[in-house]
Amino acid sequence: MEKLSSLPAGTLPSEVQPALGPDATALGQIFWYTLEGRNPETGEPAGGWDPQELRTIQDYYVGYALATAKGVAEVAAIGGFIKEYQVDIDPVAMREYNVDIAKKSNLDVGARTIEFNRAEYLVRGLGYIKSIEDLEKAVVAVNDNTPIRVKDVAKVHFGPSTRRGGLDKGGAEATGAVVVSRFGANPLQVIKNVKEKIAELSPGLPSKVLPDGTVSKVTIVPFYDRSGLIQETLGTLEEALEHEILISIIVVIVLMMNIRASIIISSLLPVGVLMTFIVMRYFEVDANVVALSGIAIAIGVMVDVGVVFVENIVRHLEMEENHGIRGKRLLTVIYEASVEVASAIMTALATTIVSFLPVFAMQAQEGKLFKPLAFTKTFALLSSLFFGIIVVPALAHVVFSIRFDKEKSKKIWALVVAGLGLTFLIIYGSIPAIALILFGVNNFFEEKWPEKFREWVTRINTAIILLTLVYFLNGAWMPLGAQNSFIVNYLFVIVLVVIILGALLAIVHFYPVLLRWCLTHKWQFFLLPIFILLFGITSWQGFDKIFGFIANGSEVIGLNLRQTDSWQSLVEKFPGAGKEFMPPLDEGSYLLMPTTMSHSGIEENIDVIRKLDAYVAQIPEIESVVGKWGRVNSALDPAPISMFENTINYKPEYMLDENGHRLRFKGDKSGSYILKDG
Amino acid sequence: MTSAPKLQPIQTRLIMLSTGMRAPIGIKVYGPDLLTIEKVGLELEKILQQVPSIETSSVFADRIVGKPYLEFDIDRDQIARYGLTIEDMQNFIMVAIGGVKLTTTVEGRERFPVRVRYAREFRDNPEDVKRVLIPTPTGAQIPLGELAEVTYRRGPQVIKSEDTFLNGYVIFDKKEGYAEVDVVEETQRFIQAKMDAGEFILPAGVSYKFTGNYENQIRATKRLAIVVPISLLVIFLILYFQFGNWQTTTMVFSGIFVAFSGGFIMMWLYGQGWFLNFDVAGVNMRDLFSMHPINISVAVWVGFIALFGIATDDGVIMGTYIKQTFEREKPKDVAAVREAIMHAGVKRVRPAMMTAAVAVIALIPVLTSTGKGADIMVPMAIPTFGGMLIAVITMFIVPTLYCLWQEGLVKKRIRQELKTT
Repeated sequence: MEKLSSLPAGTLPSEVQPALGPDATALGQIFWYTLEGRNPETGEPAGGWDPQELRTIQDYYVGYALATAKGVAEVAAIGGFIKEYQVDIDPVAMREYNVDIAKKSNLDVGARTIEFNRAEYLVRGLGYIKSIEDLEKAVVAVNDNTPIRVKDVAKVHFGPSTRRGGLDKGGAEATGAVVVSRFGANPLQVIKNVKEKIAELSPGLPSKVLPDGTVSKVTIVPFYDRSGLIQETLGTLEEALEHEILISIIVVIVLMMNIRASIIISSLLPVGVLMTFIVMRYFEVDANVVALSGIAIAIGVMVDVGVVFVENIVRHLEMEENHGIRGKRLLTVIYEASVEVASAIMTALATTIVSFLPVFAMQAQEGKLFKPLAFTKTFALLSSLFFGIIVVPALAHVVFSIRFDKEKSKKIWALVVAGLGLTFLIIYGSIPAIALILFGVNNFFEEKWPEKFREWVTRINTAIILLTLVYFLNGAWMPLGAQNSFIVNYLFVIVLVVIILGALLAIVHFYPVLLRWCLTHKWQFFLLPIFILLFGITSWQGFDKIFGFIANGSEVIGLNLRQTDSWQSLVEKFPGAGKEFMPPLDEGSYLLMPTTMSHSGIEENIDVIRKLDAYVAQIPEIESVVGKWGRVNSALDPAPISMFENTINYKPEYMLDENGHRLRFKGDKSGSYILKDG
Repeated sequence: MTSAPKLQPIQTRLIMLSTGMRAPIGIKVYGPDLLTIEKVGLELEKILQQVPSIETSSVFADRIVGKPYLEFDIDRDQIARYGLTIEDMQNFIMVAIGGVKLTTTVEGRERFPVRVRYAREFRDNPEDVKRVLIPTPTGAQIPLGELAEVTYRRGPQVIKSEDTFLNGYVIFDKKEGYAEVDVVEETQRFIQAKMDAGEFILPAGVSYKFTGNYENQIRATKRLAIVVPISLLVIFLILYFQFGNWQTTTMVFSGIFVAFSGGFIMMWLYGQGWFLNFDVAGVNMRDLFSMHPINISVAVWVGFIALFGIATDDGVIMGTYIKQTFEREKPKDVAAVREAIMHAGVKRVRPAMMTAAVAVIALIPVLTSTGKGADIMVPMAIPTFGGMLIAVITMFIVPTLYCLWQEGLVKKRIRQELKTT
């Protein structure tokens, strides 16, 4: 503002008034809508409204109302016609003209007050032009004592003012506007506020009865709503986090083969994630795609804290001298075990957390994107560290102290659990309840097992819990897609986990043998990491860059290594990783922005955009297409009339509910869907 | 009508905000006047269409000087004859043909402009406009055509300038499967070659500059080139504080390089069509993991930074326990050294594998994630996934290196003892 007002006089022509644009950027265009006449009962388009009626309603009712929603910088209208009084001068009838006619015929005045009979009256002189007749009666000049009025020299009528922008929906002209959110405002929140305002406003919008009897009410119809995309991305991430937690718990159980230990470790995860959210709230870090990804990649590491502590505790407890200890001795063992690994854990977590801090040094776009991620990842790791060091040893003490010594109480417990399972199965029909039954039955018959098979009971317990967890994971994840049955997905998840775990456990099993070989054959062993290093660097920089010097050297000698087939194919296989700024994000809508030649006029542009929209709308995957030509009535949009901007929404791959989670429909045996009414 | 590059709402606005253009990549041509800029732009358009990695139909140079202007060149001698001033004439042209807003009506909340203009029949086309009669102070009415010359001229529809210099854009888009920065570099070389060959000459006062999303990549890479080494240095220091000597620290630190390579290998495998190209129950594994060539982006580097933090974890777990074991057992010869290492290693294998296992398996749901937003998560997860899988090998590297070191020390001590006896 200061810069503008301090400009030396004469820099700009006298009629030009620079003004500051809204407190927003074009990125804030989060919500586009059109105003249409619709049948209020069926929601079907009914039409019957003129473009200038719609534009007037937009400008003076809807626009103002929506602009008051919290966080909205401006509501910029486009399309339809702005109504204006047009005085078309007939030059033949004019002898002379006076530019001031209308100015002198259009004003109200205030004349203070009159006190009359002890009552006070406010005095007003009414003179605003309210209709075409008022304008027509205005005096232009006086000729031989006869006043010449506007209607003698001109025709006055309503008409559209010139426009530099318009809207076309699926081939037909439309009127609408865009809601721009303020810089730094949370788009989801702003859209929520806008939708609340729309709900307030909608009942009061005008409606008219068409000649054939249908009622047509002006309705606000959105055609781009960024909250959809936001919810979807949040849904994707929430799902990913859930699945990650489940699968981590499963892996932990398999690796530990000890239910109590697994409970301790597993409790770390959800608590850690929740603690992260708490800290995010207080540091005002918004949860978006990237921030939540930070938590997603941190989950694997969060478990580590618990794993290392608990594994060592369990290892100590499994040592012969520690079997069956309680109370103070248990406490001592846990203390020793924890202290043994504490420094290793601190170092490991320290490297993980601190090494990530430089991400805070990123600037500009990537800084804005990834700083929240650095925050969430650091918070997540810090919470798990905090929880791990302070709570885990104590929790271990409590959990490992739980004993079912009395045979009788064990049996009663087992019966209770089985009974619960049966109840759930019968009342709710939930399959996991079978697990409870099996659990109870297994424990009930524990004493019947001969002594040396006792540990099988625990193994069966573990297996039951595992299978149930995989059941839940599968239900949520369905990796092989919804088109395959539940069982198939179930088996796939099991196989996947088994393969990876199997490989890793095999290494554990064969470790002594392998390590001894390495120790005795050190230099042969080192070839492997060196090879990996080379392979990795070649993938990164490209075959030619790394090994180019060999080819150059060979050329000097006279051998043309570079031309050989094997060299060429290696170069092709290893071109070096491509570089780009950001991976492309799939938004669910496209902007088609062709331009026409700069000399094409408005009529031509309208025709072209209409055809364009009609063609695009025929593609089956497209849900809606709305074309905008020219500019919206805003400082943020400098588009000339030859520039088009068509917002194309396409249908999502899966039907989603409003939280962005995939909807599932019940099917019957023949594969058709069961409807609500059966 | 021209074609358009593939754009999405948020992405487009981001691009427009950072570059001013509506395409991800483009060339800004600066020049002394609009005609020259347009000419150079058109030449560049032809050159760019020849670059193999550019999508030919997406190349478009601004047609700057293309809008038809109808200009009234007022004849000063003529209007002087009738006593008219330029301002009178201009006023007239403005009101009669363009229309002027005189006032605004106030009707409740609504405001409507009142515009004065000549009736349409009199200004519909240039010939009629020329016949319009202009009143003059002398009383005569003269047709407009005699007082001004009406000419057509081509002029700009939009005038763009940046940092006070006039400019125009040549926008283009890359072909599928190419990376942005590579395309820009190739194009730069191509244009330079043409200039060197004399086929493309820049007129005086004209310069051009590449612009687009890739500028962000270059800037980000510069910053990362500082950020990543700092991160590595910090890790090294922390390890040093833990172990107290640089030999062990280096051994454990080697895990980072191995993991780094692992990450790139995984990225490379993702791009290979034959990797995991089989079907399970009708679902192709490559589709399940959304395998496609991954380009290095800021997201990938963030994934690597995350990887560095955990790549050393296995090594740390190993290293600390080996150190503790050696302090306890104090081996005196090669065989004892190897035994000590075996003891330590075997005890620590399980937690090390478990941490690696969980870290890797926990990422599988991320890798199979579809739906919006997954595109950012997945490139971050891939380096970590691949890196950690390969980093399992550190469980062998660290003990072996330690063994090498300790055996060397032990052998040296034995030799010294032999010398003194």
